[in-house]
Amino acid sequence: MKQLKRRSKLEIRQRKEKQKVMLGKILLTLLFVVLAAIFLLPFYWMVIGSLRPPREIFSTSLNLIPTTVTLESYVELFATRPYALWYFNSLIMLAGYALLALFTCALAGFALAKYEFRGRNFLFVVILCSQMIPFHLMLIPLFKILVSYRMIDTYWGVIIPLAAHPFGTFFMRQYIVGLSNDIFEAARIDGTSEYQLFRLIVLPLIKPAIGTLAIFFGMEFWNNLLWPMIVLRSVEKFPLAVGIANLVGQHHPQYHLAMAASFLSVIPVLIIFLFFRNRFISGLAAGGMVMEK
Amino acid sequence: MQALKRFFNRKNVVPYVFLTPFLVLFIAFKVWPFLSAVALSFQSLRGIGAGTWVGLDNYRMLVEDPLFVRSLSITTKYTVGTLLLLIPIPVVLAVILYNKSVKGAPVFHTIFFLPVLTSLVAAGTIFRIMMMEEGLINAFLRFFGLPPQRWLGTAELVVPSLIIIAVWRWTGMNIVYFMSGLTNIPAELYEAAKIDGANAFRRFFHITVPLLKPVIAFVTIISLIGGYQVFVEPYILFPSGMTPGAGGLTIAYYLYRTAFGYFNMGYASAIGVVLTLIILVLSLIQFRSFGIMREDK
Repeated sequence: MKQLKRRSKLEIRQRKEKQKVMLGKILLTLLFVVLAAIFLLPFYWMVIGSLRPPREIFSTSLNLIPTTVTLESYVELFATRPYALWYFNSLIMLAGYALLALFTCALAGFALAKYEFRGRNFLFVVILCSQMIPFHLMLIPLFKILVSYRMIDTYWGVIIPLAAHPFGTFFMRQYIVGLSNDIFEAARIDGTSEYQLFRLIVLPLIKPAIGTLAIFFGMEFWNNLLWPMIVLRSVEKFPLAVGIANLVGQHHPQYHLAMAASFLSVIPVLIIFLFFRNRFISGLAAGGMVMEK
Repeated sequence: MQALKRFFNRKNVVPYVFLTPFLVLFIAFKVWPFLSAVALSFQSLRGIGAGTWVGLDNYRMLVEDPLFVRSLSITTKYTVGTLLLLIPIPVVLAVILYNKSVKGAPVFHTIFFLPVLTSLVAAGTIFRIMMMEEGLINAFLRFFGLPPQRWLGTAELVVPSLIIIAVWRWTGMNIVYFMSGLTNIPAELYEAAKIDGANAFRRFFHITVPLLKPVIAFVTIISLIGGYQVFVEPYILFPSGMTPGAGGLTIAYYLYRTAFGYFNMGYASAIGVVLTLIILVLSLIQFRSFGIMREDK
């Protein structure tokens, strides 16, 4: 009898505890809903701002829901600015930069990981140290190089100086070091040359690393404003970052156009993210993951 | 031809061939510009061309330049401010999301990550629009009966505005780092602590935080290095370079304005060298903290 009572007491206490946990979960979820709303607000404001009449973007009262929806801003954006070109320029330069950087990083990473040669450790240390130098310091000499080689206002001028990527090389080296040597030895015995080895064996094996780095490089370029802004002069050659910055620049900022342009620029990244969610997150966290190893 | 082929296949030649594309670009666009920038910092050069050697003059001027001193203090305030918010908040959010203490945790995780997808320029643009005097943030303040602020027009509010943008933009990224750190903590530790009667707070401070230390150290360092180099956000908020009370003139922005607004290349290079020294010192601390990490393991 006593035992039974005690058990039921225990049950009541457990149930109460469970209720407490449930209540806590509900309260915490409500808090998270508010937080999530705050995080989504800038997106919402961007979309709504691009779809409402321009004069309604600014107001002293809270006007969260537009009275009229119009594509005015988009029409004006495409009519008065080479927006489609900015998009195209971004893609071309991003692809060129990522391909060139991937190519040089994969080759150099392979050499550093799987070959013994004189100066290897020294080179590795130099590459590691060079990661710490802020890009801003090299801005002026790089600009002078571009001027003297007449590369100002060209795609190549934007891409090439960014392509030697110490971190990318380090990342590739770390990945390739982990590959088993047996496959290489077996292939060498079969008479595969070192260059075929890279093409036929290394390249297929490092596909995941290439994917991760591609997203890392892509986002890096996507966020880069400073360098393309310095290299490029003509509006027709701007990537999106420079184009949008130009819309809200020093003279006559066009906020409604900037909102439409910003929103359209987020869409492709959003789509890639939805399709390759995990690869995307690991690509952006690449810096962290290598360091943790 | 055959001899050439044999030469390129020699075991001590192959690695150099593989390294060549990288090395050519690396030397031309990293090593040389670095050395050249350091040399430039000891020269006086306006525009493009050859400078004249002036020894330490640029550095002497820097020490006495109130704008530079101000940019140092602004950038430090910004960096420390982002650290104080962008470590604790994401840690707590990551723990809650990881333990599924809320309903629909994956949905929230995705929502917090979305700002990372916007480019810095787009993020800066939308926040500038929201922070204008008749923008959304002031509309909210008025709605709740609070006094509206001149977010972009008051010197004291510039750094807080920049920090708000940083928190929005990077919280999701740091949650990812901390979540990956949490997966490495064995669940048995929590079970044992629960049996010993440790409540959620004690478990958080006695298990989660100490075991996340390596990740916290890493995030601290990348935030410090990134914080000191901040350029895009203040540039988008104040494209003319005229910020209220120079409140938005970060080191990188000051460097940019000196070089490409006033074409004072030697002086700008000296600013770059100081920025590099700051980053180097912080990176050395990073190596130290990795030393600590190894002891922990």
